[in-house]
Amino acid sequence: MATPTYDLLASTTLTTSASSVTFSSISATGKGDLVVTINSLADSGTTNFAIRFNGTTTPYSSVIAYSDGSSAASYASSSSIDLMAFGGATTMPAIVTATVLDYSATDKHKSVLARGDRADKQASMTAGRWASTAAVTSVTIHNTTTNNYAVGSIFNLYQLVSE
Amino acid sequence: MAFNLSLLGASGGGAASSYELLETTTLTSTSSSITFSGLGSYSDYAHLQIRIIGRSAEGTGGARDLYIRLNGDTGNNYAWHYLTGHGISVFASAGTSNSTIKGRPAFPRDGNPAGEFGAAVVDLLDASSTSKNTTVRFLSGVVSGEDSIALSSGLFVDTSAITSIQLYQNIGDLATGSRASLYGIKGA
Repeated sequence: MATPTYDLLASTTLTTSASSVTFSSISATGKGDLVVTINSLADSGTTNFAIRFNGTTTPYSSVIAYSDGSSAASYASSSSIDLMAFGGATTMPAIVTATVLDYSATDKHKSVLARGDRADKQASMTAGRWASTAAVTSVTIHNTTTNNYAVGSIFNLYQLVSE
Repeated sequence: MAFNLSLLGASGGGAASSYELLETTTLTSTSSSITFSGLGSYSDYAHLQIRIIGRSAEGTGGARDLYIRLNGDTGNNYAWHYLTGHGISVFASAGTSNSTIKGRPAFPRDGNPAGEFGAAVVDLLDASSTSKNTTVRFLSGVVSGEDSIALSSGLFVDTSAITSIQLYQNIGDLATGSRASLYGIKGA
């Protein structure tokens, strides 16, 4: 028997620029995956997107591969999960889809798979790991540049049930 | 300025869903593979998606590659290619007339710290078609000291409708706790 799923948990369209967006009060009793989608411009320069959980700043690690139109590259980070190698610009949006698997499991680190694109700059893919067995109760999309996500940027959070 | 948003609550009821959970398998003991069979009963879905989080049961060797077979076919009826990065550089590879669809490392070995798992999201497009060879694509990755992120595609050179999909590693068993969920995506 099929089970309806892919529920929208929260959605926001920025009415003021922001350096981060946090989805809080995520139920730890649900089982399955979380999916974050982003369509974001920068208020100046460019931004980026690091995903964090439960208000923590450690321990995160990731690997990214990307193309900038003329070459391809890969790098690893032992301090963050970058959902894209670069982020949105003032007139060129960046779009991201990121999955957090088994977000409420207390016997697994949290694995993240993400795809990010900015049409004039890059196509990228990310694998990340938050080395914690805590259930995810909040998700923050954090910009580590001095710029902000611009007004009109859209952030959505979905849950995909697995049971 | 930071923007904080409390949840609106899950959207129950309302419009019919076009994306539905069909089955989930969570291993309670080690297993050589996770197989979803009887997919013919899901022919009213245009596409299928599998989301898997896994770990190798063995502690030796490196991170394990994700391999996929369809309809139990072990003949040389598969082609594949991938683009991957491992933190230092990127590369691509491909194969034809293979006995399986080969991906890149997706699952850490058991010698890694407890709790480390890798993951993949696998799409089967038009899985019930009887006029097209079946195409599979997947995003897979593992961050375990042997980091890998890969975008892969595979071809099953057979126009039969897909009735089963087998997910397994290039070496050894999947560990207890590994989980795969099968979803159906409706079409017209």
